[in-house]
Amino acid sequence: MYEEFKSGKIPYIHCSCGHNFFYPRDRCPKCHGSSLEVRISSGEGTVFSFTEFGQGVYAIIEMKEGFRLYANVRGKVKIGDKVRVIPGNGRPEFEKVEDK
Amino acid sequence: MILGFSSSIQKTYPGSTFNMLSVTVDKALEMAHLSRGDVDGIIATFLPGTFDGNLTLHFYTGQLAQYLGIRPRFLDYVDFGGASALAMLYRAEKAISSGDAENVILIVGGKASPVRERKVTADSVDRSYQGIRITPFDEFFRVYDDMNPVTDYALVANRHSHLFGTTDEQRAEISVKQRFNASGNERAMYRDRITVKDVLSSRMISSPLRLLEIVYPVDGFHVFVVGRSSRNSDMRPLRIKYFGEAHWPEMPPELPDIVSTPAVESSRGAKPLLERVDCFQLYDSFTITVLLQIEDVGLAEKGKGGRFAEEVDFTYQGEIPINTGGGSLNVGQPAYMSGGVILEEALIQLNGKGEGRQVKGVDNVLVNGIGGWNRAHSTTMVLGE
Ligand SMILES: [Zn+2]
Repeated sequence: MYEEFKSGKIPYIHCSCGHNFFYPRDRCPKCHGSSLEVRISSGEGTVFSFTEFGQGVYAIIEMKEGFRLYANVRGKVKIGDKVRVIPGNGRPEFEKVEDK
Repeated sequence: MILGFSSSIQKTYPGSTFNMLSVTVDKALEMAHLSRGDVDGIIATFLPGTFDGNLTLHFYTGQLAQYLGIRPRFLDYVDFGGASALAMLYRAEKAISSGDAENVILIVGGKASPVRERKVTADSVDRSYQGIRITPFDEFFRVYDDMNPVTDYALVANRHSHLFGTTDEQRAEISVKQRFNASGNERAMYRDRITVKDVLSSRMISSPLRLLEIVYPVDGFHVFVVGRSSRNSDMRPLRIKYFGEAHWPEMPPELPDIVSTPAVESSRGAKPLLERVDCFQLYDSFTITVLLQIEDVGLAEKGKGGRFAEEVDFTYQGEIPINTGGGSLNVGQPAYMSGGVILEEALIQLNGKGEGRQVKGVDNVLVNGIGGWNRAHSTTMVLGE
């Protein structure tokens, strides 16, 4: 799964109950079922919360598919901003999608 | 029953951690009018790196017993971070009432300075040592930059402001009022009064949290002595009137929202007692932690904690006194865990030993501990006769 990050992709797990989750487990945390498959996210999400500190911007991103994850963000953002994943070197990073 | 307690806190203690502990144990036993030979139980907690810089102490509780010269009938280890101290007290009372032990000492603390000098935080000790895991998913979030727990609570503070309009000034009020309380506490490291402006002009650490909203990790121990009989103790015969614990092991992104803590659950059963509580000791790793607990234990509705901080006088002179000794924001946080600080202040208030910050007529105190990586644990206790 970690390999996917290198191409800027965000994998997640889809359960047959409809629940999507990011942190890998062999059972669905919602229904405890094991009918799971790995899928690749669209890479689009919104900023759920963020903080800026010495090393940059760190955030929780809510992905279009409904799951959330911690991530780095390039540039300034605020809560609710649309973001998308950018290809990185194994450290997933997001950037703001500018409204056209 | 709690028969005695003591603490030793210094910014940097030059000697061995065992030595600092040993002194604190004796002071606590002295208050209880007991000797080491009377102790047959130990409950302790520990954070990697805080015992003379050691990563792990295998058989930690056994080592403590060896050094202190105690042969226990009962040993336990509680690993809920800042929520540990209260859980330890509850477990000690259980062990004593079931006959497993007669006199149990509770040990909270260690030396934060060796970790502090490595410039890592409590929740990133894995970055200064090999082979520490904090969650089953370390590979999947430790690739991101974080400075936990500061960044985690900063995410919470920003989201709280986004959802409820909470302002930086409102959080700053918590620092200001707690500092007012600290000015009457000789144990406090920071005692000079501060203003909202001082807080807002202090250095930004992780937006929106500033330096004066964050605890300083120090070297120190809190030791509490719990025994069956209080006949020799000078303390009031206190009992646990309510105890609740809750554990939310999810990674915060998987919680329905991040603006609540497990205190919502651990404190639920204390609601009928709230009217009779004379002061509150709420976990204060950060200003936002206090604000969350004001809401989660039911002093204010969810989202109204900011307004509460602004409008309610919660100094020791006020209508709802909170963190009457200044809390760990001003006393310091021994070994990255504040549970001992808030429990000790509860006992001080209940025994009328609050010197320059004593609340009048304290018969019941609510204490709430928060701990664990990303605030996973909460313990709530009401203490009184
Ligand atoms: Zn499922």
